[in-house]
Amino acid sequence: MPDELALARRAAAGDRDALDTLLRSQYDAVYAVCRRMTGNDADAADAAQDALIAMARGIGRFDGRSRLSTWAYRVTVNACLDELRRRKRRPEPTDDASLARVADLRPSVERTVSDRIDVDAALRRLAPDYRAAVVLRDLCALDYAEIAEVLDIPAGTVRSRIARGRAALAADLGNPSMPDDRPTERS
Amino acid sequence: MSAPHPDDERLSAALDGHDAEALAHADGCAQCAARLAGFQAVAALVGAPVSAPRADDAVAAALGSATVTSLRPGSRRGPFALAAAAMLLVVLAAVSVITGRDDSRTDMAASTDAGSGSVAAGGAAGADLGDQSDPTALADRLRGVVEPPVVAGDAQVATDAPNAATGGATTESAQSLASRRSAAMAPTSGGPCGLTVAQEFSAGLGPLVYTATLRWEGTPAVAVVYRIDGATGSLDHRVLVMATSDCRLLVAQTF
Repeated sequence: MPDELALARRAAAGDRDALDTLLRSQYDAVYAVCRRMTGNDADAADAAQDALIAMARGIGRFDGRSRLSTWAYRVTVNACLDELRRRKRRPEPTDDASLARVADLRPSVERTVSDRIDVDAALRRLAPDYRAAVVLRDLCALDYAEIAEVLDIPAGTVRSRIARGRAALAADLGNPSMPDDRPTERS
Repeated sequence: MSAPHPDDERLSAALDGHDAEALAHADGCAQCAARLAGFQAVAALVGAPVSAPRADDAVAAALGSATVTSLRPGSRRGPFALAAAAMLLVVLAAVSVITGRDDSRTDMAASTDAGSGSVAAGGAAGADLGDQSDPTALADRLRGVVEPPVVAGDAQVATDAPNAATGGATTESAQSLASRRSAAMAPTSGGPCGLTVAQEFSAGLGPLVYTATLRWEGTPAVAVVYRIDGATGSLDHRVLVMATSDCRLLVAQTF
């Protein structure tokens, strides 16, 4: 943490090498979140670039109270949500194509390949608020408190969004091991 | 009567180590164990590693952006440094406009001339896009230029020349247009940022299809549009906006 803060302060003071190092240290995680949030490589690249630009411009606001990665995730999720809003103004780039490929691929290639395409499509159909919670938990392995900080919502809401997101994804993916007729203590 | 099943929220929390009681229940309940396994499968799919492309483009754009921002009012520098920086920016911008316009007229003349058919077809007045600050708005505008609606007489060019942005009432082949445009920005042509593009940003990019001048957030700049190699969807072009003064990347946008 002290190293992160020192690096951030040097970057904020105009040290170009420090900023370069800082951005590169976060890039893989930033891109991964963008890839899952947007569902395709082109939008992910744009969102990741926007996130890095926002980080570069806003590094002076990082105060070290959270981990650098937590701050980076917050900036990244916001960049992804912006990208998703912009994408509504243009056609989905790969959705139909991906779904068509799934149908073509199922009989002939590894199940994991079609699962990957399926989960991209299923994630795109999930509301962005739920998508972000699930991605931050299952891809980034953040705990509920960190996700709450990134998304600026209560931890209880994080828990609920993750559960609903996972349930929706499982249903969308047609997971046969997910019985829906199970009476629960709340039903 | 057996214990009620924990709901999805509790099972999901159990997967994350937050509900030991629900986890214990699932150990002895086939239905809940199956549901938990479903959550685990989803979590594994979402959490599968993502391989990121090289960071160079994005980092370069961010560094360029930070350079511009650091000279803006509102930065954390002192008032005198800020004033000096602002004056420097004005001087640099003025010099860039004066010299850059000369350069652009010389270096991108072929591109502009070659692109006149597209520009005319797109309804734009010329190869200066004016003041721009929104990547999406810029992409929307460029999309209209490099992908003009196919009208009677253009269909042959549009269908025969997937590598070129054409359209408009030109009789020159699209391939020829693309070649001329590429030549205008080739490193050996001395184009304003041709060498930078070739050395740093050309990976995965196909032929150059359009160039224009503009001011990006007030900074005199050049926009170069490439087709993306192997692109099959609607996102098949990439625009790079670089400062005229030093060719630093200001923004890159796929459209």
